[in-house]
Amino acid sequence: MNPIFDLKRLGYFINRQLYMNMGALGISVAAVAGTLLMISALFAYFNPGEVGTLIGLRNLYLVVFFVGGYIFTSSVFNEMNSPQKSFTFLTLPVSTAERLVGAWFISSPVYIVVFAVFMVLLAFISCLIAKAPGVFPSLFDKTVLRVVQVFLVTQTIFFVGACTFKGHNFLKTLLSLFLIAAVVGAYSSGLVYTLFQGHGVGPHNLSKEFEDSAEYIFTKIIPFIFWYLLAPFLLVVSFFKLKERQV
Amino acid sequence: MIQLQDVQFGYKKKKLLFDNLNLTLQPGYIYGLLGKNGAGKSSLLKHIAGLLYPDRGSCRVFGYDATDRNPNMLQDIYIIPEEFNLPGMSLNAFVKTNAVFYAKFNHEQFDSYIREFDIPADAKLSTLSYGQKKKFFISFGLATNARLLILDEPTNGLDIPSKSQFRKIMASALDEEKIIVISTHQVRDLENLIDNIVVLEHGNIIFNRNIADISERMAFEYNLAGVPEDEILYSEDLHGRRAGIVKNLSGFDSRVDMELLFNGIVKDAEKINRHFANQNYESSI
Repeated sequence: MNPIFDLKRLGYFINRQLYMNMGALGISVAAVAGTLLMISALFAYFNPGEVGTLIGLRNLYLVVFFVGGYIFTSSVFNEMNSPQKSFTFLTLPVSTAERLVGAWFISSPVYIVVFAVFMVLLAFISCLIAKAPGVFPSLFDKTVLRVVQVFLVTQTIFFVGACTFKGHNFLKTLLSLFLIAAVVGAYSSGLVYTLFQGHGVGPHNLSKEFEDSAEYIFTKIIPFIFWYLLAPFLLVVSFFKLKERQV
Repeated sequence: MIQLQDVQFGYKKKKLLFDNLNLTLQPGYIYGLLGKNGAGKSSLLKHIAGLLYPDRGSCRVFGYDATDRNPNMLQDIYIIPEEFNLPGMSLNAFVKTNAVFYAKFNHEQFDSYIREFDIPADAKLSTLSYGQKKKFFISFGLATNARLLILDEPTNGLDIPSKSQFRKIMASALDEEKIIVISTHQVRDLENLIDNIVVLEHGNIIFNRNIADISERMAFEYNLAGVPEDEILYSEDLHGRRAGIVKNLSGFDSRVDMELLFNGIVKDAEKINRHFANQNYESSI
């Protein structure tokens, strides 16, 4: 077998990870699905035929999809982060690349597919209870696809958090994000204040060149970084975090 | 072969646990790693398994750098730590999902160990007692047929019959390709099992000898009355009598008392080692 990456061994690893976490996963999925079903049934029953309620429920599923996905991703390396289990995970004959790909596959594509199945079922049941089955296809529009794309990118932030912290990974990642946002915000504010000497930013004091540059950065460079560079970069960071991980 | 060369390591940057530690472990032997609490035994085992990385120096296991955690190396290592937590799944499911990673895993061997240790084959791991979990883990580790088996305090939690079963199984599991490293405080549990004693003190290897050499050159006496002082290498009070380690001048191999030996080494390793050096010198001339 190839010591760096072997598909057969990757398959064994994914199977092992799914099997070993099946119990906890099953309970979480059942609890979330049950709660969503209750909420959906109540809202659909008391607001029959209302398209707005069904779209609202769909949006609720998407919020749960994001939050649930981030929490699930944060716990994908729980075995490695537990002092009494980490040795089995780290000495398992699997390469770092396989650990990375296997864990990402479970926390991203597998999670998306599983959630999608539940979401379709919940939406369908809600439409039936609300006596508006015709609305069902329109609930799965481009917004849902965009949300999945955003999840695929942002999920990798929590993936890095799962590789980095030892315990309370979700909360620690959130805290880190908050701190990074605060530092970037403070730096940007300071920069703007320095550049414009406290006169504020508005069309009166912006040159055409500055406006063009800013527009180019915000409409071309930042979206390009977000959609094409952020996720691969964070996965590379995760790879090195896993490689350097000790007990 | 396992080779640790000039290993430097510390949990804190200013306080080194290992400073230029060197150790070579050869296949075909069972090594007993002894030391007081905090001597660095578990850290040393973790270095060998690639779970800790040295700050300087190298740790090579069967030709691989342990820090690479190469899957080909890892399928030849199995570590059974002192404290562990097994997943809440059935014994069979654990074997099914984990054995596939070990090319030399032998299911028949595993079944025979499980029978020997009297563990119910259809049990759920979470329902087993600590001792049963440990026996299951040892059985799984042995069945992987990994060339390096690391056991940290393996007899902790085992009842008396299980301890003798453990010794029997370990002795039968050894072959000329395997290295078994057992770290323990329960030195009596290792009697008649280990081939080499390695003693660690404050991160340094203060003693590393073969049991055959020890029994040839030392004798363990439980009443030192009448023994000339210059033949005594170490003595301690034992129930009102003076017991200790003496030079073996009888020409016959003695029975090694691991506890006395360990106490003697910890008290004055230099004196004990000097005795071996002198004997080597005398035998060479």
